Amino acid sequence: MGAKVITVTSGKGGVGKTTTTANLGVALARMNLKVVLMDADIGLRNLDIVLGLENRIVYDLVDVVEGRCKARQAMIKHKQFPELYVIPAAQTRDKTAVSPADMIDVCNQLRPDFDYIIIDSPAGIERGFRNAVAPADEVLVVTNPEVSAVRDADRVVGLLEAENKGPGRLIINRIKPEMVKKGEMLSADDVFDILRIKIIGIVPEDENVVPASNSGIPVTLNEGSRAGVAFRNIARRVHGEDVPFMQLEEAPNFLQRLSKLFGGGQN
Amino acid sequence: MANLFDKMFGRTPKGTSTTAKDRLQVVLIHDRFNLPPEKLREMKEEILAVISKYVSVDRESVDIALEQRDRSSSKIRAEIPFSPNRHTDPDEDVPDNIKASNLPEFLGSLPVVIPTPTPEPNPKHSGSEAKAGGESGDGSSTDTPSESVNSSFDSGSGSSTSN
Repeated sequence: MGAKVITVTSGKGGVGKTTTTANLGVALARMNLKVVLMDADIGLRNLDIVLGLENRIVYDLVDVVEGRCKARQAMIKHKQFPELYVIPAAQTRDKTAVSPADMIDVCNQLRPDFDYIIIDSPAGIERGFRNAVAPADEVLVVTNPEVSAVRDADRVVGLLEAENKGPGRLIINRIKPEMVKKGEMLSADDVFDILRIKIIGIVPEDENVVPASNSGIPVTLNEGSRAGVAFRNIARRVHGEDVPFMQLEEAPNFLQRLSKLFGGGQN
Repeated sequence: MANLFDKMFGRTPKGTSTTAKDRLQVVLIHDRFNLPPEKLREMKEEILAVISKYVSVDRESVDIALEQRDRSSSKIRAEIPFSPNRHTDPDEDVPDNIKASNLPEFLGSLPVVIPTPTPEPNPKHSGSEAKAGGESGDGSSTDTPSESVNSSFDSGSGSSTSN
């Protein structure tokens, strides 16, 4: 059977693709699954540093594609999870060094040995995006609850549909419950109404995320972090579990609105 | 659904998130069809030019907008109130009280719903194109729960009158 290839993309930059990829990888590894993460952002290598593996790189994705090493040799093993690997992006090349066919090829080499291959897509909708999406069995679209990110997400969903890769499932990242409550930020319901694609995760803004990146230990490993819980939930949903959405005050469903109206309960 | 609920109970959400949602819903529908508001206005003018050849259109009340309830179904909804053309010979002296512009509004209305095949992604809908004309009558009467009519008009008028 072999690995399922999941691509994390967004259109807009800075919405949390790399954070999502790293945390999803760690969370799946914690579930005792064999995972390889691939940084497809050629020229802007990032996934390694978020995972604390930046000092151990020998080969990169372009080395694999150009035949200087086997895919296995470019894989860096995670310190804590022996079944979690990263294939870093090349830092000194650009996206044209890799083609969509190359990506499919590399993934096919890895598929037999893993449960999941997760590809961190570069921002944009150009070559790098097409590279990242080409081998995908499923695509996760990351967005933030703000107009620019949502618009770009919609564009990406359109492109995925056109390439028969989509619509994909949506991750709404960095949602701030207090702002949603005040009506100053789109809620998860709002974003769903606008984009009309299935939501696989809602990740609250969390001050633990930056320190986690600072130290190269993804926030998923921080048991007390709300974002960490959200990422673990996403991993379980990816793996087919039916996990109810975290109780975020900012995303009341219809019934909760009803009860708020008539009961006036504020919590 | 939630919006309707809010409206029913007069719980209009305040704050910029409502503005964001409204603006996104308008801009995305134009993005998805690659039909910017200016092009839609051109299309509207051409449609009205054709209809005006046969009946007298009340331009003030015309509403033509793109409407999409989910990603795979979309239509152009047009509400075009009209009255009978006053006379075939425009130079003939028609008494003021039966001039088209003075006729009561109830004399006519032409609701048209034209299903539009989704751009590239869904080639399955090819059949709907051919049937568009014939379906228009049924479509408008069966397919217009008040909720969606309102929302489509909101976004439509927002886009066409915003200049």
